[in-house]
Amino acid sequence: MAGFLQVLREIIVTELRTGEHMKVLVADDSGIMRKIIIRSLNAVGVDEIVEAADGQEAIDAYKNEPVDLILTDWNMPNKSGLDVVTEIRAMGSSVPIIMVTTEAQKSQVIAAIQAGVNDYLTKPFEADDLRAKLDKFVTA
Amino acid sequence: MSTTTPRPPSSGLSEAQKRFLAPFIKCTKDVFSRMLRWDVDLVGFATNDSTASRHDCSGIVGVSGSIRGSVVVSISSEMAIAAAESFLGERPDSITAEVIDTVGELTNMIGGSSKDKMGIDGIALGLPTVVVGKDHSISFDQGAHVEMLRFQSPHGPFTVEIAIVGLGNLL
Repeated sequence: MAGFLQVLREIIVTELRTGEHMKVLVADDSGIMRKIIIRSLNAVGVDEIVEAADGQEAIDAYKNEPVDLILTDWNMPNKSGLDVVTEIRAMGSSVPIIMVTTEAQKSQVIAAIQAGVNDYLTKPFEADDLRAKLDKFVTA
Repeated sequence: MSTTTPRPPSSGLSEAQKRFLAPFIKCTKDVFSRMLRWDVDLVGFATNDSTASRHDCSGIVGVSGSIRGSVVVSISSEMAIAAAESFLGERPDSITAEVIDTVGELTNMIGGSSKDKMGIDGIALGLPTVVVGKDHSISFDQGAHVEMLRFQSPHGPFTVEIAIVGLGNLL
């Protein structure tokens, strides 16, 4: 019975993580960068995307409409990506968050992880780098 | 401020200049290679050359903290459109908001990734702004040391300028 429940649980988790059922928040003040990320999300089967052009928009969007995954830039107007992570974790949310940023100093990566980031991708990146990060959180 | 003419790569540069410019050269090549799959080559330098010309679209990102100044990436309209096409998968027919965004993001990535490789603590970058127009001018802080790097891409030439106040003994 325990085995059956385990299989059932895996089926449910896989179903929930399947791209076509996921809603993803993409926060970046660069419209072109949002489009690059969205193209990669579309390629792994995610079509339901919420966009935010700054940190405050990202926080407001998440409050209005919880999502299954967040990709956020660090340097944005109003509130930074680090603020976004901190505030969303303060809400008690464990939604996976990937920071996509030019900030690559070790101290910054550590600060982001301590704030609650699940993964970190530095710009510039190749399409395959982003795809590999998405594959960890989205099952196609 | 002394004026010099553009030089071919590496000729006449001091060791300190080579060390200072190395992160910008590497990061510029990396940004174009990784994001656009374009190979770009360094073809020249100019130091404190106030007559050096720029291209139609310039992305500017401010540098603050332990040093102060700006990084400017200047590219032609045609090259900016080609870069946006590479990002978007479709060709914009003019200098659209997406093309301007492309120039800003390239500048942000070149400035941001170079900053982390300079070996100087406490540097912060601002958000990029983009100036578009033929023969536009950009004023740097008084006393800024300005290095211009000239590159050649598959879609034409472009420049990266680093204008910094407070380099002290670095150069």
